[in-house]
Amino acid sequence: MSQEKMRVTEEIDAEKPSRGFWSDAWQRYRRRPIGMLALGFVLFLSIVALFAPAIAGTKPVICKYKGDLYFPCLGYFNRSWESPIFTKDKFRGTYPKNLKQKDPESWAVWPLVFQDPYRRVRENEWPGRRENPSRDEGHPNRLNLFGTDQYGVDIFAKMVHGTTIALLVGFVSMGLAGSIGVLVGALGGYFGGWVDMITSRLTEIVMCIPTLVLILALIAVVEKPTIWKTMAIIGATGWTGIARLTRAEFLRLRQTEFVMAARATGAGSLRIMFRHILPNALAPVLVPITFGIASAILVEGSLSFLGFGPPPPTASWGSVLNSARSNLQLWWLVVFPGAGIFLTVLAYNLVGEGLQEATDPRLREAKK
Amino acid sequence: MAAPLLEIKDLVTVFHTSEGRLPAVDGVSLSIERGRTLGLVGESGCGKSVTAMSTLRLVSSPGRIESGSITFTTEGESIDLVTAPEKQLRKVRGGRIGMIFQEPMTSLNPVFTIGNQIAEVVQLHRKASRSEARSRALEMLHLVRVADPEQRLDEYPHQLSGGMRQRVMIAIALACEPDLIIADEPTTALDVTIQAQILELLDDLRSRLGTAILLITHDLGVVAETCDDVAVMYAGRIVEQASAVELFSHPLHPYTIGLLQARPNVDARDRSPLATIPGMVPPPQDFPSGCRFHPRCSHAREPQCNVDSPALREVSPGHFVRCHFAEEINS
Amino acid sequence: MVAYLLRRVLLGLVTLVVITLMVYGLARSMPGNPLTVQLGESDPSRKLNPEDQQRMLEIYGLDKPWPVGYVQWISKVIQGDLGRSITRKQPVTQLIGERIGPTVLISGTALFLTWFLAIPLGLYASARGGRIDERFTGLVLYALYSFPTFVAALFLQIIFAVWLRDTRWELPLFGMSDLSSDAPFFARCVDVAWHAILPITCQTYVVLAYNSRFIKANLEEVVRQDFIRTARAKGAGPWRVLVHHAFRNTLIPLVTLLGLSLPALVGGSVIIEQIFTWPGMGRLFFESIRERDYPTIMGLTLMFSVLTLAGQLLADLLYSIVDPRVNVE
Repeated sequence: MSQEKMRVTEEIDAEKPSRGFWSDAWQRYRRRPIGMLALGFVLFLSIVALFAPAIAGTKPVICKYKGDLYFPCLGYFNRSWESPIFTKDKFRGTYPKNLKQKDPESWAVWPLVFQDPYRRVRENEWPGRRENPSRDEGHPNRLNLFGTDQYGVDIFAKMVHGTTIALLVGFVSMGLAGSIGVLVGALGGYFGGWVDMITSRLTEIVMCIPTLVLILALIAVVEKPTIWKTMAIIGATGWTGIARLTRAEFLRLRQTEFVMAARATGAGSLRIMFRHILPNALAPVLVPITFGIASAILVEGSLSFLGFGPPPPTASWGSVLNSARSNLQLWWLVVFPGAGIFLTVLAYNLVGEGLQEATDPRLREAKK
Repeated sequence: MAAPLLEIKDLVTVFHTSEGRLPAVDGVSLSIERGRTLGLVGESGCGKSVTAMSTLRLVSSPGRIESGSITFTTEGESIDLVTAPEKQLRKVRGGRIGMIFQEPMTSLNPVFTIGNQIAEVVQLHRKASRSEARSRALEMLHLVRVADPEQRLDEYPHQLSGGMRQRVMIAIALACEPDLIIADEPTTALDVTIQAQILELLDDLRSRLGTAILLITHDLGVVAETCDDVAVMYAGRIVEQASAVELFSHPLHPYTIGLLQARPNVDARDRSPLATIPGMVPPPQDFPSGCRFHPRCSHAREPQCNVDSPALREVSPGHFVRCHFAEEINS
Repeated sequence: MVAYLLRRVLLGLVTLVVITLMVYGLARSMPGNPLTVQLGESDPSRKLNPEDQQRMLEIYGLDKPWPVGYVQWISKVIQGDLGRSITRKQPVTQLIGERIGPTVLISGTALFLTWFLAIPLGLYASARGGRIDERFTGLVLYALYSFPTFVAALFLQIIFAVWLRDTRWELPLFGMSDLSSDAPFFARCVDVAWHAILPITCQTYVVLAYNSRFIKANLEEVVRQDFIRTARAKGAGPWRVLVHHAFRNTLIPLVTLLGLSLPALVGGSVIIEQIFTWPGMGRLFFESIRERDYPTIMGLTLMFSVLTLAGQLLADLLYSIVDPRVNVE
């Protein structure tokens, strides 16, 4: 009888193996259908952004020309990735006719939609197709799924390529803002004293200047704004909320026992900050970073909308909305990019909220 | 014989969680007589707090009372607290049954003054003016022996110590002269010396006002000192119930015996190792079959103990045990 | 208390000096100056000869390096003079005075509407939490919160000014008023109100959505606290528990939110004012940057920073009033 008792005791004592913090959070996140839907949407957008030139463009995805294989569509990402042979042979960006003319043996795999985000498709550029309509005739049709703008440039292509910009803006600027914010907040929260005084004043100063104005001024200073500089500027002005939260977390965690234990083993300040405190502070800080991505996309949209975005011919959702301002009768110029921005921002906000619920320790306690 | 003040019959309170239906209270029956103290004892997780909360329907979601009845008889009227309409229940809460909680540090609203919070319960149940309620609050602070009561009336909870806050909670519970006070581990969160003071206060108030008390605790010493009757709870069920005198002199259930033996002996000559009950209290999702105590019981016998769930039966007058072999074990 | 206020004010002054210094430096680093921008926009044949240009630069102190220019500006500010706008040839204070009214009309109304609606919405959402109607409203509010203002503004413009043109539901697209200033007062009021409907709507809905969710989340957390259980054990009904006990505790973070919305109240929204060509502060800021009108830029920056710091101070003070546990010192 006592044997059985001991076994049962061991069974009772052996608890279920505890999952790691992040896999636990992921389990909780998975339970919310809306959160998963939003995550799925973000993934979908990432795929669109990655494969944009293969979805909409006037350059072949792959082609075989004069015996070699080329990927002209990569030229949409970077001019220099489009092989120089096409400039040498005077293609001038028109591939369908020139490929066949200059090398009858050539073949090409074309993007799903033959449209260009930067220019109007000309008459017979694609054999048998008329040029893109413009202005009032530019409403959505079979060839122009989302219609065309007042110059005849296809909106669908602009939206697809604009996805790359939108996602990049979100990630790059928040990456920068996150790094700055975490660093500033961590330093202030951990060291306290005059270090904290300086970092807090710094945060306060940047917060006091109206963001849009600061951005506009910086853009003007930078003189030749490219999309990368714009992203950097958005990142350099959007870190204050993250800094404040990080500071609060570090202040709180600095007094915990595991930090004291780490100090007792002789760990230096930097090590404590980054190996011990930061992983614990990360969860609540990730939330404003996620919301920040949504906000960065909005800021970029507003900038393009006001006319301060990256210079043409960059395709950005905000710039389409800008052209809508003076062409209010072309409703498709508002509906599609508007829906695009709205859904993207909504998706990121939902992901951020799901993340918050999945990692908030107090919420976890209540549901036990 | 007059009807008992509070009679709980076959109460079942379950929690619907992601791990299924967990019966935290699984068929509990208790009764408390007018003016007497019943101690409800058990280890953490046995369901005693949930029982207390169920009495006033204060169990928070995802928990709910599934079945059973809780009959409260006062002034000749009986109502079933499980099925009574909200309005009627609210009259009982604070008016006829007062409740004291475990955590004095967080049980008071931080943004209102002490006087305000005591006066509130008076105004909810009596037609009292502001000043009448306030003087009643002052009276209560005197009653629970809070120093400088006039000053305390206008202070905020964060300005008081834990012991004082618990006294305020007692004041709130007693303000409307209830017939019953439910005290859910009132001293667990306090220092030992304060514990003694609070318990003495409760005992004193009981003898002066004639209030019945349901005292929930895990501390057998507290029970021995202050309670008339005792009920021992394990894994959602009552396993033994008797008067305090009887229980401490003739414990019948192996669990009760184990609890009593596990107390350290102050006798310096006694060098024997501390007795323990092997194993742990099973969580509701893993209740053993048959008698829930059988995996830890040195008297357990197959096949009865792990297949048949014993019923609570009266083994001697007023002494109830939930065990198949109670008589044999103790002869 | 006095010592605390003094300390905050002094710290604030230091911060102000740093901010204005940085902004001045930034503004002067922007390429071009008011003259080149103005000339660039107007008739190129009307070019000023180099001597005249130099004379104008001297008048405005733009030929000196920017630290000197800053000192010039701040010494005038201390005497209470915010300078004259270069491009509009008016004292900056007058300019601000003209523009502040229209902005406050929009943002003040929006602020009032937001709080007036958000509190009941938040209470309702928390009381009916989890049920179908609450989840639906919650989703709608969430969608509103994610809906960019400039898109909403465009949508509203399309609906009310284009599709509903020539119907009685039509709303004006641009500007604040179509009537001249000698039209009867009441008619002008109605006209301005009519023009203000769309901008106010755009300004309100986002903050409303955020605030009501904020209130709901806060209430939900407060309701989980132990003292709420005590209140129910006293016999308090669900309404009293929510409105008297819970909400009073929610007030604490709410009040900080209110204090922090002070700068936006006067600053206005650049985007909304641009879209609707509303003659407010946001647009003034935007235009002055574009025109390199340094005195106006600095005047507005100063005002905005003062309001931000004052708003933070207000938030902290309100916090200490509302939460008895907090002592500012």
